[in-house]
Amino acid sequence: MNCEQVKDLLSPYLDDQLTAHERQSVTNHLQLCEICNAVLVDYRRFDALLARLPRLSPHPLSPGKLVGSSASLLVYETQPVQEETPTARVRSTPAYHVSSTSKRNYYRCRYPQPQKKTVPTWITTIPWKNKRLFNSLTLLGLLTLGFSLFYIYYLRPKYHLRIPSSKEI
Amino acid sequence: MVRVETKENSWSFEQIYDEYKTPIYNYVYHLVGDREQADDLTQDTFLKAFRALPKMDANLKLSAWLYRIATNTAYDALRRRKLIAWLPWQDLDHEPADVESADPQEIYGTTEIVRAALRRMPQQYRAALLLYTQEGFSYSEIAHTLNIAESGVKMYLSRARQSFREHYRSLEQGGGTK
Ligand SMILES: [Zn+2]
Repeated sequence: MNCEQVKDLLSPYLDDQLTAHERQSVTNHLQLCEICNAVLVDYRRFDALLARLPRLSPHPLSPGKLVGSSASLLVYETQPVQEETPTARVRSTPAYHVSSTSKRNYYRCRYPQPQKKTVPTWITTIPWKNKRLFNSLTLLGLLTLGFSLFYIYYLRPKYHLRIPSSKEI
Repeated sequence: MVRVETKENSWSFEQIYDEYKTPIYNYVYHLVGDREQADDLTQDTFLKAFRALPKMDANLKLSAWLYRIATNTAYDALRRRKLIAWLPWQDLDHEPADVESADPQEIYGTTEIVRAALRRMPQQYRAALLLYTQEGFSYSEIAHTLNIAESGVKMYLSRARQSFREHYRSLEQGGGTK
């Protein structure tokens, strides 16, 4: 076996996934080849590094981020939420909380009433603030436009789907 | 309260969430390379899992089932990101720092090199490597999770290790060792 053939067998060799015959061939090659040996040493090291990679903690579910996301449903469906949460607390971000009534099978979001006439809260949560939804809408628009052009300049002339002009009549 | 009966245990959904939210979050984070998006996708994963609970096959290992949902959720997001990246006027500033933009000079520790090397390798191999090394999945569990044959797992892991080694080495030489 040459290095090129052994290269693809080193990973299953490490995981003990080779047939007895393949295993023997790789072992024989490794006794002679320093390059493949170095690769195997690396694989072992990287496996250990990956296994020890520190785990990051997910950010706690923050109400400020839940507007319009399916995560708000998760909060509702998995956690009992307090019936009344004080809304008087001063927050830097627009505050609201999810409240649920266990007897009724729905949830609602409450928004504290703004003191002054500022931008209504609903404006800040409408689709064009939601980047993903906005991009989906633009894509849909683009597709509609594309098809219209395709129809006008290709389909219609090709199949004579047009009103004859007065000269032609 | 909805309970899940598996071969090993009987679970409430809260127990499942508490037990798996951190590993799933880390797995998804390494697949998409963006912490904020990983938060959202982790929530989506558990929401889908919660809704699919009644249909869950009792013979399936709970972890394999959850990671399958997580993998599909992350892949969908990556596909969407590619599609959106194609739009000319999209907001580039908010795209996660990904792949080529990582500056090796700023990478200083082994952990950072490992994460950067993961980000640079092909996504389908990344999933297999993470499941094997981080979650301790067997070949057959990876096959179930990624919905591929066991021979495919062998190939994926082999390619994954080759690719990871390539990227790790180049990062290490490019500025990791100061
Ligand atoms: Zn060799």
